[in-house]
Amino acid sequence: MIVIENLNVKSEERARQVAAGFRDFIINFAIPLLFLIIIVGLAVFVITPVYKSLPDLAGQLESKTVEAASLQAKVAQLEDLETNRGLVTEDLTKLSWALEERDKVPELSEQVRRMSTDAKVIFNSLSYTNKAEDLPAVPVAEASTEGQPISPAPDPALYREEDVDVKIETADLQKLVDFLQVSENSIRLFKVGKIASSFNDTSYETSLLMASPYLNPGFSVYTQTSASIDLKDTKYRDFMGRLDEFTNYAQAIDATLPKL
Amino acid sequence: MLQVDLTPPQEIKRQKTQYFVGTSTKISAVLLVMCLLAAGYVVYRSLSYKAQIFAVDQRVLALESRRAELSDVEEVSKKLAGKYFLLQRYMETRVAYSSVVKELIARVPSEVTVDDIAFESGGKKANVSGFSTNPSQVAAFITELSRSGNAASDPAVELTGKNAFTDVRLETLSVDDRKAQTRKAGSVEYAISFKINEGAFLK
Repeated sequence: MIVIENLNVKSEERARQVAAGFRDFIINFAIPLLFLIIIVGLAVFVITPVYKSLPDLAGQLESKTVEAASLQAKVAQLEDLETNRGLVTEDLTKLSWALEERDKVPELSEQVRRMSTDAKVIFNSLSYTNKAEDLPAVPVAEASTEGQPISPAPDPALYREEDVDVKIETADLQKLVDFLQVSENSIRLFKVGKIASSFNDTSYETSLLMASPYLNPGFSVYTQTSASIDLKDTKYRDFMGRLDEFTNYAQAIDATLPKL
Repeated sequence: MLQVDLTPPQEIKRQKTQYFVGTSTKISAVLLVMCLLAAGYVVYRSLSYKAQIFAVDQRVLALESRRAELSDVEEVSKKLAGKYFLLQRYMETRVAYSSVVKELIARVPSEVTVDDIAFESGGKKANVSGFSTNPSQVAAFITELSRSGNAASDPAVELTGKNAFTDVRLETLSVDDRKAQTRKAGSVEYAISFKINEGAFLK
C-alpha cells in the first residue's frame, strides 16, 4: 500500500515538473515565438499575396499606359483635325467627288461625252446595262507582273463598279492615247477593262469597257475600322495634290456638292 | 591546480536557458525586422502601382471625355481615312492604258501600220494586227515589242530593266501582193499576240 502511495506521489511530482518546464519554456520563449508568429503571418498574409500581385499590377499599369498613350495620340490627332477642319472638309469633298455614294450613270455618260470633246475625239455611243443587283462588283481582275501578283486590289465589298461600253472614233492612235489620258486624269475615277480598236480606212473605231467605282453600303463599316489619317503625311498630301490636278467633270455637270 | 565548479546545476541550466532565449530573441527580432522591411517594400510597390494606375485611369477618363467632345471630327476623319485608303488602293491597281498604247505606238516601225488592237485587263492576251511593206519589218516590230526599257520619248512610266510586253508571238503572217495595190501600208498582213506587263504600268 505504501509502495503504491509512493509511486503515485512520484508520478504527480514528475507531471508537475513537466508542466513547470513547459510553462518556463513558454515564458522564456514567448517573445521569439510571438515574433515567429508575426513573421509567418506577414509572410503568408501580406508579403506572398502582395508580391504575387505585383506583376499583375505592373502589367495593368503598362497596358493602361499604352492605352492612354494611344488615346493621347488619337486626341492630339483629332485636335489637329479640329484645328484644320476646313482642310478636312475640303479633302473629304475631293475624295467624295472621286468616289461617289451612288452609281450616277447618267452623269457618267455626260462625263464621257465631255471627256471625248476635251480629247478631241469623236464620241459615237455609250451603252450601260445594270448588272446583277445587290451584288458587290468585282473589281477589274488583279493584274500580274510576268506571272507575279501585283499589289492587292481593294476589297470589292467596299465598292461597286458600273461598266459602260464607250465607242469613240479617232483619227489616229495618238488621239486614243489622249482620250485615255483624259479619262485617267478625271477626278471621278475610271478603270479601263477592255480596248478594241479597229482601223476603217479613215479612222480608228475604238470600243472601250470603262468601269467607275462608287461606294457600297458596306463601306460605312469599313470606315469604323480604318486607320487614322495624318493630314501632314507626305504620301497623303501627294495623293490629294494629285487629285487637285484631275479634272472635275462631275462638278461641271452637277455642282451639287457630294454627300460627305 | 584542481578547479572545482561550485555553480549549482540549476544555475547552469538557467544560464543556458537565458543564453538560448536571448539568442533566439535576437535572431527572431532580426528576422522580424527583415520581414517588416520586405512587407513594407512590397506594400509600397503595390500602393505605388495602384497610385500610378489610378492616375492613368484619370488621364484616360479625361482623354475619353475630350474624345467625346471631338466625336463629330472623329466621324469625319474616319470617313476621310476610309475613302482615302480605298481610293489609294484602287488607284494603285489601275493600269494606265494611255501609257500602254503610247509604248506600243513608239515601238511600231515606220513601215508597219497597226489596224487593230485588242487589250483586256487581268493579264489576258493582247492582240495587234495590221500591214507591213515586208516581213522583216514585222520581225523588227516583234523585236521592238520584246525589248525591255522605254520606247516612248516622253515616258509616263519607268520601264528601265522591265519589259512592257511579254510572251510576244507572231500569230499569223500572210503576204498578198494584190493588197499592196489597195493599201499603202503594204502587202504583208500580220497578227501579233503578247501580254501586257500590267505591273509596270501602275501609277
